Amino acid sequence: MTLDIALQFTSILLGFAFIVQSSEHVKAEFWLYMPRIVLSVLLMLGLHADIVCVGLLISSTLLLHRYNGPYNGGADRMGLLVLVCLTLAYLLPAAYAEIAFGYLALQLILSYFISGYVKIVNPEWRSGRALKDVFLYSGYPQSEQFRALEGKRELIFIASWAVILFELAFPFMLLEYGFLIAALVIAAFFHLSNAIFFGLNRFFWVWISAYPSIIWFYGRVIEGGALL
Amino acid sequence: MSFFKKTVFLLLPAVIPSWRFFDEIAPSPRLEYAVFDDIDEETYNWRELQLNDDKISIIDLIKRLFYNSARNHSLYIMSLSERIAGEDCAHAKKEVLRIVKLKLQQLYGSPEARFFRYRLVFKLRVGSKIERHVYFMSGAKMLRAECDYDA
Repeated sequence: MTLDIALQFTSILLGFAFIVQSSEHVKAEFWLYMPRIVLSVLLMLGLHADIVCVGLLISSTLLLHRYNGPYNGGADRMGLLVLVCLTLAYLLPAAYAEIAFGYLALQLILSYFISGYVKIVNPEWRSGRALKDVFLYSGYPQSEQFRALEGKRELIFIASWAVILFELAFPFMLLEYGFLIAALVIAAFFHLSNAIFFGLNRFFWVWISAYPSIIWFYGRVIEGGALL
Repeated sequence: MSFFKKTVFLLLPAVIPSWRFFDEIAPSPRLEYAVFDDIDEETYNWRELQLNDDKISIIDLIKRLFYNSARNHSLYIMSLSERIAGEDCAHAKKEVLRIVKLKLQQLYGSPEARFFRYRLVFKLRVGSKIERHVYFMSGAKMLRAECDYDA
């Protein structure tokens, strides 16, 4: 995948993620969110992407000030990271653009690996109790029906280890293109399950918007351009 | 803090993220409110502000993948609650008060002499038990829209 194509895919996916987010607020805070929706549509259409990205960065900065931080924690932060890297990739000369987009790929890898590492060193995650507690008393389960899953001891234990091992193994998927694509499909389903169980729909759209960066990264760095 | 400094401060965690998702299961906040008529009331009927659905249909789950306003609003309240317990207290308290008041005005209207309090409760594991600790309770506030009287 060439850099240009990867940037286009990222633009489309990120624009869509921003529209999904903004649609929830546009009625209550029209002047803050309607320009963001318009800019996101332009980003998806690929019209003056560099200027549009700068506009979206201004919009994101205004939102950070409005909420004194991200509205939706990690998802909004990831959205901002993708946007910053995309903006730099559009604005900078080719060599620096590759560094900016490569940084996004690197952060995507770290987002899984570090999350896996902090879990495996925690005995509560290894025993399955951490995930049980997420369902039992955290504010995350989207319904009482899902909260009841805390009682499924074996399922919780297997799910805990599946998440830990997948996250830790993620960087090694870069060894082979087929593994990488399979890993991204599994990761997308992981985010989908988080959207279903915990209502974290913003994570799903934002994280997959970063996937083109890692597919490009594989071709550019791991295979030295063989996949172009 | 200047606008520029604050912008850098707010942007940095996004550009250089820590990625420590769920490294520990932290105490989980719940926002509760009580509405009452007598300002000297001393016992309150506390209710949770954001109640979960009992069950969600598959159609609704698919819809919520694209539009999940209520849920994301709840997550924002959780985030504000955690900020109240952390260092960002003033903005978070102001925002929580605005949200609680708006919600209660939707539920009860804006009668002349009705009051409310809200409180922040954290659920946490202590050994084999799940306990509830009240972290913060607001003063009595008037429900009427234009008045922010804090008794």
